[in-house]
Order: sequence, then structure tokens, then C-alpha cells
Amino acid sequence: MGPKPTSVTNRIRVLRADAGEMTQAELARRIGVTRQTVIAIEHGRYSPSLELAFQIAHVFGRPLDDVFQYEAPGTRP
Amino acid sequence: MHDADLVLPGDDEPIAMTMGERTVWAYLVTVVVTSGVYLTLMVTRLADGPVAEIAWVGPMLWTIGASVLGSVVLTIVLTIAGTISATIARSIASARTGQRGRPAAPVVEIDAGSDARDRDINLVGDHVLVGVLGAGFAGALVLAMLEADTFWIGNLLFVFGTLGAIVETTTKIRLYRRGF
Repeated sequence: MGPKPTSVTNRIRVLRADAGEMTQAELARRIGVTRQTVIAIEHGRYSPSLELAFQIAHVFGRPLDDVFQYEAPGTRP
Repeated sequence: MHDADLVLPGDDEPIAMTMGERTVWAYLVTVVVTSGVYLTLMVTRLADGPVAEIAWVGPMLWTIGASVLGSVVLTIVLTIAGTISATIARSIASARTGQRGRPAAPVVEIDAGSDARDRDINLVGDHVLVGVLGAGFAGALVLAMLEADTFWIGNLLFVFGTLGAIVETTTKIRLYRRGF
């Protein structure tokens, strides 16, 4: 698999585990997208809109930067 | 434990193709087949006689109609086939997880229609389509200014329409598969 197309990383999988092992399908249902979109976001293959990102953070009851992190190009070790 | 090592219940459920991606695949296959047949017919007729005597309007209209109808029919066929295969895969996965003592996998969302990612992918696809159609439009204008036969003008637009559809759909499939 090649490099991820986005510089935005996330902790959605960890947060789902902390939220009683929430399934991808359940998270998808709660934010109104398909499970495939949740998978694409988790794997860094799709950067969600700001609104969708806030919806995901709201589901976990966390601030946005607890869920998503941005690595500026060239800052990776 | 690294995030990537985490596998939560349901994560290993089969992943069905979304309705949006399925429609794109159906459109790509249909356009390639119908346009391929039409262009082969036109090339054959070009070799047989003068351009002014070639009947192209009827075949082109039939081709466009077949493309529209064919993509709808193929989307329905792919949806039925995808649903059946996802159901079978889900049953196998449920049986497997049941044997391990884990709770049976929940009912998977096979298809929930289009969402924000589909709309974003459509926007990018439309953007590349407009670029190709614009080039075809410019070419048709040049041919009209040169007073070329309507055969060449109509078929140039058709070829660029086909190219546009192919570039649009392959772009969308790449975005669905590799992300953006």
C-alpha cells in the first residue's frame, strides 16, 4: 500500500474501543454516512469535511484535536 | 498497542461496494461496450464509402440510449449480485466469530445510499469531465468554422463525450479505492 493521500491522522479506532467497542456501522449510523466512509476516514484515505469531523468528535464527546491530528508535510520523523 | 493493530467487533465484516461506486462501475462498463460497438461500426463504414453517405445519427442515438438503459440495468444486476455475495460472506463471518466465542457479528449495513464522500468524489469526477468536454467543444467549433461535414462534428463530440465518461469514471474509481 502506498503513502496515505492525506496528512490528517485520527484516533477513531481507539476512541471506538474506549466507547464500549463501538462498531464502524454504529458510528456510521450516528453521523449519517456509510460504513465504507468510516473505514476510509479511519485508514486515512478520506479527509472528512469540518462539519463531519465535528460530528465524529461529538459522538465520542471529545474536542476535535483529540480525534484528528494534522502532520504538516516534512515534519514526520 | 498501535492503532492499526486494533480489531474491534464488526471491523472484519465484509465491506460491500457503495451504491455510488457500483453505479460508476456500471456506467464505465456500459460506455466502453456501447461506444466501442458504435465506433467500430463507424470506422467500418468510413472504409466503405464517402463520409456524406454514412448514416450515423440513428446508430448514435441508439448507442446513447443503450448506454443510459444499460448502466441502469447493470447497476441493478450488480446490486443484486453484491447483496447476495455480502449476505453469504456475512453468514460465513458470523459462523466463524461464533466459533471463537465472540458475539455473533451484527447485521452489516450493506448499502446506505450516497453520503458526503460520494458527493466529494462526484465533484472531482465532474471537474475532470468538464475539462475533457471543453476540449471536445473547442474542437467541434474549429470543425464548424472549417465547414467540415456534420459527420465529423457530431462524431468528434461523441468521441470526447466517451473519453470524458471514461476519464470521469476511472477518476472516481481511483478515489473510491485509493482515497484522497
